[in-house]
Amino acid sequence: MAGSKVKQDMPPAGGYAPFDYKRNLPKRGLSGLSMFGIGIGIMVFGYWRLFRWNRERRRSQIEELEARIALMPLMQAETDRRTLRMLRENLEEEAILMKDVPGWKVGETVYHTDRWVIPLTEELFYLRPRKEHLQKRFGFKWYV
Amino acid sequence: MPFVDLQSRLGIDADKWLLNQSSLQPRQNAARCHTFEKDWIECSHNIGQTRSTKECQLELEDFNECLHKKKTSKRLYAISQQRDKMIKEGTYTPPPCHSGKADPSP
Repeated sequence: MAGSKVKQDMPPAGGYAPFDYKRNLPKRGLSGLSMFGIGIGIMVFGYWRLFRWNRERRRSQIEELEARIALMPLMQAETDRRTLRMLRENLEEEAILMKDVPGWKVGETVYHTDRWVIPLTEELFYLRPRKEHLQKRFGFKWYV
Repeated sequence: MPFVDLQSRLGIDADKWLLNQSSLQPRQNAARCHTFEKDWIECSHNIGQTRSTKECQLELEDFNECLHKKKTSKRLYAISQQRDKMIKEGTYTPPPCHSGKADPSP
């Protein structure tokens, strides 16, 4: 047995070439602190832009409110004229309609005071087509 | 308690703000019957309920009318009933301002 040369699988002459076997975990990329810094920096930049734009929006909103205040006398005057005209028309129709009804005082007010009482939508629209009345009461809604 | 008036003594306003329409409302939006209620309260202030029912009857009537609009709606109903009757008889045609051809400009 000692002398017989059996063909065995042996390493090549001179041994194998050297190779890396140790761990290779290189340090790469930014450090954690600088990543935080970049994130916070982007956020701060975003906030700055946002606050600037919000100030601009507030200025626009104030301008819109000022425009509304400036137009209010005109709008109020128009509404008042329209109300008075409708009340006058209703009064004249009432005079025509209730001519033959006994004991009816045309245009009498139901209140004991002389003060101007804001008329109801009913009082303005009760002789007109129902569609107009509904349009006035329910045509504009604040909700969608 | 009636004669103690604890809230004025303590200078607080625990529930006076919600007791009538004429108190301070959010955003100063006045109630619909603010003036009538104010008149009635000013009339009947400090004179007690028995005197108030006798002396402030007109103000109370106006206030109730503003709240419930009973007399107003009765009146409008009478006029519109008469109008329907006359239209059915043929003695009345509504004028153009009342027939949907109104000019809505102020």
